[in-house]
Formats: sequence, C-alpha cells, structure tokens
Amino acid sequence: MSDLFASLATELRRGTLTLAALSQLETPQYGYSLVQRLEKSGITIDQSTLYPLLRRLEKQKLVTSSWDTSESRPRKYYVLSSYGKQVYAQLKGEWLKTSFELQQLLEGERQNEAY
Amino acid sequence: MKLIDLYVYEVTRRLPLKIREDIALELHSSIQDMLSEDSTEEEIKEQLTKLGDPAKLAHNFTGRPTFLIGPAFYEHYLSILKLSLIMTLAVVLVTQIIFSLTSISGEIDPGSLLLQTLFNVVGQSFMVGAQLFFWMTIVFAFIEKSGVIPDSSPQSGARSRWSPDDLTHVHTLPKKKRITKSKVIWNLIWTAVLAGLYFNASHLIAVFERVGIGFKSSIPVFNEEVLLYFWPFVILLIAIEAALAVYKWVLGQWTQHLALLNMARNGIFLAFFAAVASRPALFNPAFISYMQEQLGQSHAELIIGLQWLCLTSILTVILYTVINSYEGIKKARLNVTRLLTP
Repeated sequence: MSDLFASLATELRRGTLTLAALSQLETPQYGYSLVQRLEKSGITIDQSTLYPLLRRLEKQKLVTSSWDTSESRPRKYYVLSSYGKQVYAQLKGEWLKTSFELQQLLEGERQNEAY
Repeated sequence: MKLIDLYVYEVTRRLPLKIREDIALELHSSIQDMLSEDSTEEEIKEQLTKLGDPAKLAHNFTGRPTFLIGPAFYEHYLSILKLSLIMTLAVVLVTQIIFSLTSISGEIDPGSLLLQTLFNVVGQSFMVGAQLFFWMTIVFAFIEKSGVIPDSSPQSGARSRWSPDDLTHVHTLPKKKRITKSKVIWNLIWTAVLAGLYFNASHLIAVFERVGIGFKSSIPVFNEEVLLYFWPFVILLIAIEAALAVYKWVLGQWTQHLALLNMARNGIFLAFFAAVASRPALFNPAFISYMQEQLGQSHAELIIGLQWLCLTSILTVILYTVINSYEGIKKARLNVTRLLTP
C-alpha cells in the first residue's frame, strides 16, 4: 500500500520538476544553490535527478551554462535562454490552468461527500 | 576527499568521453558544495548516499535506452525469429537427408546411418540457429538504434504518427502493393536453399552414380575452390537478403525506398553472379572430361558450349533483375489514396 502510494506520488511529481527547476533559473544558479532554493520552498528533489535534468535542459537549449572560475571552487552556472523563457511562460500557464481545473474537480468531490 | 574522487570516477567512467570531464568537474564542485569545509568521512558518506548508486546517476546523465530492441520492434523480432528457426530446422533436415542419401556406400548399415544423420541434424541446427539468432538480433538492434524504420505502427510504413486513416489503408492496400508474410517467408526459404546448394555444391550438384539402394556423388560439376573463393560475398549476399526480408516484413508494403533497396540488392546479386559465372576455372576438369566421354565431343567444343551456357545464364539473370527491379518500382508507385476514393 505505502509502496504503491510512493510510486504514484513520484509519478505525480515527476513532470513538475522541470517546471520547478525552470522557475528558479531566471537568475543564474549552480547545482547546489538550485537544490537549496527548491528545498526552501518545500520541494525535495533527488540530486541524482536534478544534475542530469540540468544537462538535459541545456541540451534542449532551454538553458545556457557557463563556468565561473573566479571563486575558490569552479562552479557551473545555468540560466534560462530566451527560448527557455518562452517555454517556461507557456508551461507556467499550462500548470496554472491544470491546477485550477484539478482543484475544482477535487473540491467538487469534497462537496459531494458532504451531501 | 578520496571517497569523492572515487565516486566521481565511478560515475564518469560510464559516460561518453566527450562529456566526461565537464560532468566530473561539476559533480566534484556540487558534492563539495553540499559539505562543510572540514567534513568528516561520516558526513561525506552520508552525502554520497544521498546521491545514490553511481551507475544509476550515470544512466540518468546519458538518458540512453537500456534496451537493445524496443517495444516497437520486439513483436516483429520474436515472430521472425520463431519462424526462421522453424524454417532453418526444416532446411537442415531436408539437406541432411539428401546428404545422407547421396553419401551411402554399400558397407554402412541403416542404423548407424540414421544415427549419424540425426547427430548431424542436431549439430547443424544448433550451429545455424545460433548464427541466425545472432544476426537477427544485430539487424534488429541496428534498426532500433538507427531509426531506419520510423517508430510507428507497422502497417503505416513511413507514416510518423498513427491516424485512424491507417486502418482503412491496411485493408484497401492494393494486393500488388502489399507484401504478405508468406512471401517474405518464401524469400527466406529460397535464400536458405540456394545458400545450402552453393556451400554443398560439391556433394549436391554432381554426377551421381548408382550404389546399392542409393546414389553417390562422384564427380562434382563445379570447381569447389572457385566456389569457396567467393564465400565472403555469399555471406554478404545472405546478410543483405535477410536484412531486406526483415525490412519487407516490418513495412508490409512496397515503398519507393524499398524499391530502391531492392534494385541495389539485384545489382549486387548480378555482379556476384556474373563474376562467378565468368570464371574460366568454374567447371571441374574431371566433369569436363566426363562430359567429353559422354557426348563424344572435343575438349574445345565442350568449352565453347559451356561458355555459351554461362553467357546465357548471365543474360537470364540480367533479364530477371531488370524485370524484378522494375516490378518493385511499379508496385511502389501504386497509389493508395487514389484507390481509396470511390
């Protein structure tokens, strides 16, 4: 039961990770700073998923990357490209619409239960 | 510190060379970001546990599929494999029986001959079966990786996305354009039979002598050395033929692309056939002198006769390949949509 719940919950969250990552990349972020920002808003993301995700976003030309070697430790920064900004805006709209619809659906269910 | 190096190495050694260094550097700095300046080994271990199995992480980085033959072709793969294994068994059985019948010489008793035949059948089936399995898998893995055939429903051919219209196409495909599975199977059987004949030519294509209850091949018609000289080309032809059969099976209909490939195959076959047939030493000298005795002709007359025979067969093959190629193109041109509208 709890195994099934865990796998369903993971499935539910999977698609939102891209959106969550994109939302934080309007300013340049490196891997770990992104993890911290996401965790601060309560989103836990497996780090073994996040680093490959960033690479994939770069390959899809949604973000660009650059190495910063000015500090003691070199860091790779990622930031939204202009194409990425467009896609992010579209995805965001899609998400808001979906979550609104779903909310209505779920609240309707609660009202039904009340009767 | 050493643990981190080892971890990064474990991940990157599984990655393509090109991206190795970049990911190593990034992973290194990311792991150090997670740790405080002077962390204990315990803390390091804890963080590495969070990152998880290096193999899994590496897999996430490459995003490469971990299968050889995906769902789009797996069904085809299985059915072709099963069919060709059965066919192989049949062909091996038949050729071995012929082989046994032709190698009877008075002294062998039927029991040991049967045992010997059975032994040969099992041995050869295993050998050929293993070869077949190996090559089929390679061909399908290649199709999967290269994307030669678009990942779509098999009936729709070159269509990239399935639409309900495909349903009507399947049934209204003109008969001539359709490639039935039985045709493909016949193709494969013929290939197997011809290949079997070629490689056993010294036993099967020969002058037979009556011995006791059976026959014994005594004088091979062809010079075995010449035939064996060409064996790599024969293997290549078989591979081409098998690949084309698989392609036809999956497509299920004639397309322009297939017609072109068919033409290329015909060209290669023609070149091969002409090369073999025009070899001066093609015929076994013993066979030539045998024929001289039988027909009472001089050596020179017989040679000229055989040359004519070769020339005629080359011309026949040319005619066949031209007709076959043309038919392929014609079938590919048959328009489906025109036939759909009443």
